[in-house]
Amino acid sequence: MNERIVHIGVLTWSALVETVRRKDLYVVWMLSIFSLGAGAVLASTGVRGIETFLRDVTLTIINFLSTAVCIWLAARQMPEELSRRTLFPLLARPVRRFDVLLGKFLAVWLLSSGALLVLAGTGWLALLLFKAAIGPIFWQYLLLRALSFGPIAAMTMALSLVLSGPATVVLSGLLTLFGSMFARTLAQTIRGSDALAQAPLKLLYFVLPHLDLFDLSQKAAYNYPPVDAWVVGVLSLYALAYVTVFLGLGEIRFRRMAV
Amino acid sequence: MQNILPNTEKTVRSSRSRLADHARLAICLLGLCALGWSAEPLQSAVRPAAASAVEAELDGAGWEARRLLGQMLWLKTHAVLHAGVEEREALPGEELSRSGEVHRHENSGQAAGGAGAQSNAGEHAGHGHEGHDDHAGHDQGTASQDEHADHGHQGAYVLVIPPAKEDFRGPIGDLERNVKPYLSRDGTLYSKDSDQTLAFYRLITWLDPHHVQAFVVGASFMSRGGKYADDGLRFLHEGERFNPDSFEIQTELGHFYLVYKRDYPAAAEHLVRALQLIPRHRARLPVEEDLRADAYRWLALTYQEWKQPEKAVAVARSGMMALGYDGTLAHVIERKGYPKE
Repeated sequence: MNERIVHIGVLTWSALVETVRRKDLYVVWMLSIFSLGAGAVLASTGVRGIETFLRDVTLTIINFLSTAVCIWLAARQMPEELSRRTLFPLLARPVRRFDVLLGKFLAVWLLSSGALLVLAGTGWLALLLFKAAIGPIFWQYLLLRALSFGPIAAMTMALSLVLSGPATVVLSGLLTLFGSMFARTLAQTIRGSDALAQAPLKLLYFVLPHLDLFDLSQKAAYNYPPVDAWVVGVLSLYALAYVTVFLGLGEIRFRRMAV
Repeated sequence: MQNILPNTEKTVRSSRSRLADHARLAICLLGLCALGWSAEPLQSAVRPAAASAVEAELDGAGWEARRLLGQMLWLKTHAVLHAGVEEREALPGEELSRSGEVHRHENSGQAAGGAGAQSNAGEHAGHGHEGHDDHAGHDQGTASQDEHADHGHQGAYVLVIPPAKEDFRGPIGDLERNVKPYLSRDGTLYSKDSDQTLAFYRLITWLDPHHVQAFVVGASFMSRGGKYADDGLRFLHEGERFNPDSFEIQTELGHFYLVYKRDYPAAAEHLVRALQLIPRHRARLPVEEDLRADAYRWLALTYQEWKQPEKAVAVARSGMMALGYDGTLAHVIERKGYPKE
């Protein structure tokens, strides 16, 4: 067991180093600086009384960029290893395929959370400067956002073993960004449909990951009080469940691949 | 030498082919110009010329983008007014099943005591604003509750997220009610900070100076029940400059001059102009219908306060003809155009 943990740790570290070496995250720093600059321009125009609006826009940008970074990083992990054929020497060692997936997943999760912290730190600083600081709910927002990267990264990595790189990015992006809209439409359809049609629709509704549940940005923008601790606890379990499912599916596909 | 010759031939050939390419490119460009030139007469059919100077001014992709941004901010303003809680119109039966959360977008009926000549709460017409009419402290409407039935927005609204008892989603629904803006623990809606919307109206009208509703509603919020009436008036006059043919802005100007300034000649001037500008050759939107009714009411009340009872009664009668029965106008006729003692 200890050996497996060491394997996973080494794989995570190597994936982290590889991503940092490729300077992918430089985009995040650049975007952060750009956002800060844009905010400073807005502040210099003297527009006052739009604290809620500023918070809303800032959190929306953080949500979008951090999710994009997560999907981008997750989508390239396995296909790149395959195309560069660096996976063969890796699998020649006594390493389980699931551990390779898990190591990569942990690296993506850590990097995405790091990118989120950078973006959120910039946003928080900017809001502080504009006297639009967010209350304690901000920390819960960050935590839930980081938790959401679990299912997103696992889902994207599983898809990347089935689809091409660009198709993975597009499909994961659509599922992540429009998933909540689809789920809401589905819920409304269920409420209006007869009992026979309800069963399969409900099944579909409950099977789909509801990633919008990890988004506290609306509450944070309006400075609502923090949510109860049980909500964070349940959402942690919810995220863990989907990570397990998606990584499991990914492993099934990975094991069947002729690598 | 033998090596050089073929190269020279190649160079000559390539320069010839380059010339031919350039010639082809030039012919293509000329052809495109000719096509564009000949297609000019089609433009009038495909894209008719603007009917007025205002429309011509609004033409173009830049304006479209500004209008779109303005509209997005307008929707955002609505969300800000409701502390981010999403709502929708209630379906039949939901007024009973969701009685705890159902609410209406109508005037609060708060009489703006001392707000100009019409301090008697029973007389002033309500002044609902589509989407922004639920702010007790910021609407200048002084309508009595009995008059709401005539012209208030009577639609009931409920929250988009269903209550636990109606939600098939079980724990997922519970989570959503906790992570999205929703009712507070005691089942009430969170309080709203309408001052946060003031900058929105400024931004919307800066982006799209022809967003009439933003001028009308923004002025209403800016004046804060008449406390800062001059700010509201300044905003409305700015709107009038960009939208000289807007009857909505003229109606609101008349309202401001009557209620907050007691300047009856100015109020009458704007309200008469408003009645002249009401669109008659197309179906009016509900918000336009409300303001049309307001224009008649404010004008009748202006003449009443200005001690011109005959004119007050005449306006009230023509208003009743145009609108049907109206409580405020009926009161004016009942008192023969004289103000309440």
